[in-house]
Amino acid sequence: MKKWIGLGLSCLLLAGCWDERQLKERSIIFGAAIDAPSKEEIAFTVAIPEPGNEQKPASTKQVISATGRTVRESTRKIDRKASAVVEIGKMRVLLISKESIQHDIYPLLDDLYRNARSPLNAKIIITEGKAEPFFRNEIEGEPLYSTYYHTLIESAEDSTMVPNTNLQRFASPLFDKSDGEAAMAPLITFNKEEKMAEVKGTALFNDRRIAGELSVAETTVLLLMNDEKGKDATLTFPMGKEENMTIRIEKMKRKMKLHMPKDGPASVDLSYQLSYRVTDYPPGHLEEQKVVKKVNKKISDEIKQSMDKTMDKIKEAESDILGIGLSMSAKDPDRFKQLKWENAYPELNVKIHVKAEIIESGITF
Amino acid sequence: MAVWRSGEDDPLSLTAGGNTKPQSNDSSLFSLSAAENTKQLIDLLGKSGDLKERTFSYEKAEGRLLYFETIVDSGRIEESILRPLSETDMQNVEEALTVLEREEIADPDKAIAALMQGKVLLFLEGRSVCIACGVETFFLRSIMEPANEKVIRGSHDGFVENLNTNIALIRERLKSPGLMIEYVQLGQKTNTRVAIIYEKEIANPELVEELKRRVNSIDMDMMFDPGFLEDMVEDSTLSPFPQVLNTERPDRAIANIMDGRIALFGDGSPTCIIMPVTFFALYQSPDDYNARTIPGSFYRLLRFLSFLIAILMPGLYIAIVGFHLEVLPADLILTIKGGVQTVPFPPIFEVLAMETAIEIIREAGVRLPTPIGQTIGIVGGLIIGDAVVSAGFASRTTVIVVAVTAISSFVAPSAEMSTATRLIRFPLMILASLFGFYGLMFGVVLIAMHLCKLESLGRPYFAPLAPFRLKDMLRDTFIKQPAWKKKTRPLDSHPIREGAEFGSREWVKK
Repeated sequence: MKKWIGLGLSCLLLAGCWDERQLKERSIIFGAAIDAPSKEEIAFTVAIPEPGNEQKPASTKQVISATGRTVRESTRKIDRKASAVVEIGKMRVLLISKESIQHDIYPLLDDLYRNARSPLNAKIIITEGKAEPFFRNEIEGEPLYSTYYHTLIESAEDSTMVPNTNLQRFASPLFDKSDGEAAMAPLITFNKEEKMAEVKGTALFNDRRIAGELSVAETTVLLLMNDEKGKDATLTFPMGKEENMTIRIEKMKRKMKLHMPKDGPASVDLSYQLSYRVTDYPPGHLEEQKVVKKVNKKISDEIKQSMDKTMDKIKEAESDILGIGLSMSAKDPDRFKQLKWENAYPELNVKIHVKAEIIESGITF
Repeated sequence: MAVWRSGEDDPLSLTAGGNTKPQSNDSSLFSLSAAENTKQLIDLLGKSGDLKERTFSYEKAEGRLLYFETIVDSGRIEESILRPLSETDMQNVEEALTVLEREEIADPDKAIAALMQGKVLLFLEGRSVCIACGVETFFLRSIMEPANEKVIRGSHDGFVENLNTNIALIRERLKSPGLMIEYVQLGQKTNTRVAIIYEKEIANPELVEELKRRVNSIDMDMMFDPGFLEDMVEDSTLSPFPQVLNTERPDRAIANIMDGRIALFGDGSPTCIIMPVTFFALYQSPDDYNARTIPGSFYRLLRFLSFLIAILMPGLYIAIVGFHLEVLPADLILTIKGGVQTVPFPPIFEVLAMETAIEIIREAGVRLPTPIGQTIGIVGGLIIGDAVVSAGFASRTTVIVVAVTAISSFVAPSAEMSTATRLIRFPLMILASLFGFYGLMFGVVLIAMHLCKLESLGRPYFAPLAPFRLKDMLRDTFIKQPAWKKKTRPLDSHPIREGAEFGSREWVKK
């Protein structure tokens, strides 16, 4: 009888306890780094934060690394070292070194895409040099490194300096093979003297490997071309002798016209209509119609030129960030198949038209 | 047992058939001798210390008075009975009596019942009936605002322990000839007078009949009002939710009577029981009707929100900390983790212990006199709470959750509802600790099912949500419309007269 009471009680009160994951018995990680010098060797690093209190802000408690043949093996090895089971569910940044993705990025992410608890809104960041030191090096005034990288990228996204990407958005170009859509991810570097990380630009992908890099200014132009303006986007252009003008893009309209003749190569017309605000222009006199006309023309030309240059760069990297291939396959799938996009894209004739218009030249806010 | 209507018969004449049954066989009718009659009654009653007999012998009148000296007004006996008798020159002596309420009783059982009510029995020599004269004395508490149903604006009076005063308070506000008051005497030993009050032009007769059926079936020695009365007439006594509305406020009582509900009063208690009610009626406060529409609606919604907080918050906390840590935003998770890190107990024990502590503090505070009660609140709430956290027995978050929950549960304008919400959260907490959000959801679904099934006096308790009636929901359930929009009464009490407002806002043209 006693046995049955005990059994009944444990059935009632212990039901579901195998699913329990007590917050206090888990190591929450906010950031992870992957270095994969070769296919057989994947070094996984996690940064375990320490909760803060009134006196002391939250900080990085431990940085643990382990090397295995797969990401999951490496995490299991980290569990051997860490005081509690590592919980990846709240990860906010995933740093991957540029060297690791020379061939294929997917094996490094596979575990994350399989895991039901994996954080799909974590930012993927490509690092110049090894990724592990980004958590090992001290960053001045930022005790919680993972949060620092997260806010660094988020604010860069807002000002259209890096593409807005995360684990989930990153996936779709990876899984679509040879269909004209490419991934990109922010690229950062570590400045040892200043004890700071810095956004360097963007890593361009061709299918699953890294294929090129863009600077921050080029990234902004590329994102504008792709109609992905963040909260604000500023560009600086030379205006004649020793004079520069900084503008903030306010509104933007893109029109993409695809030409796919039955015979002959395909071409694209990209026309942009944008309005901007002058934030920095010492010579002034923007109240005069004549000057405004001149400036508009000059800015339109400058934007067109930088867009042309950026277009050349991504064509060279064979990275179809603008998704032109995707639009073409949607418009005429049969013709798209004939085109053989991998070969056709670098040769694609892209005509860019820009019409920029000043809407505000006074006080900026 | 029968029910008497006001106006048709005097309440005095009623006897509880039940309580006299065992005696009716061995008592005979009155004789012509006053001395014999009183002796007969004294024998029947036994010699109680406060039972007094007084003989008088005037020119015309000769007889005896029998009364309980503790419940009669001796001044009025002198003024209205003895003096007129001594001064009368009429042949028919009883005509001289100046008491307002008098009645001839021929049956000793009825005479005893009247004696118990505080009447004076007057026996005249040569007559085989006694005259019961109403000279009861009242010990009245002054009419004060009920401490547990305070309002900011509106009337500040409350019911008292005397049934007649309470009915007077209702009649004073509701001067309608349709206001019906029916008395029943309950409790074989206590003989408690119970009144059923309703507006006959509005209340559904079927519901009135049903309540009368339930009240008339009550057969017990003692009527402990209002708890016993509530237990006897409620539909489902084991449900955590109260299916009657208890109020000590006359304005709340008449508002409900005017909505076609029925009020039940017991003598000796200031609490009025109102049936049928809905879940939502228990969240309506008289304050809402005195407030303007937008603030009234806001506070009404706030009360429902606090109901949800009161039943769900501890469960949610346990589920999140034990199962679903991913739902916490990154910035919050570290703070919460920092709190629970050093706590030696699983969250369910932590929260259960804190909840129990709060309940103990509350119970202690209710029992103690006000000055000490406040001290207990401070010691319990502040000192223990702070010490528990700094000693590391419970996390700060737990203390916050428990405190917010406790405060939310007290928002309900009905004390019974507030107790109900505090009890429901315990099973929900255990479910959450077993199955996380799934368990919590199952618990909530079970509660919803129970609420949909529950009835109050045979009427749906969860109306107007189930059965669904959007019109009522927007009128006076979740929000409070202005008075001129309340064209019809709520349907949950099935009133026979639906219209309640007839274009008051269509102002007469200038």
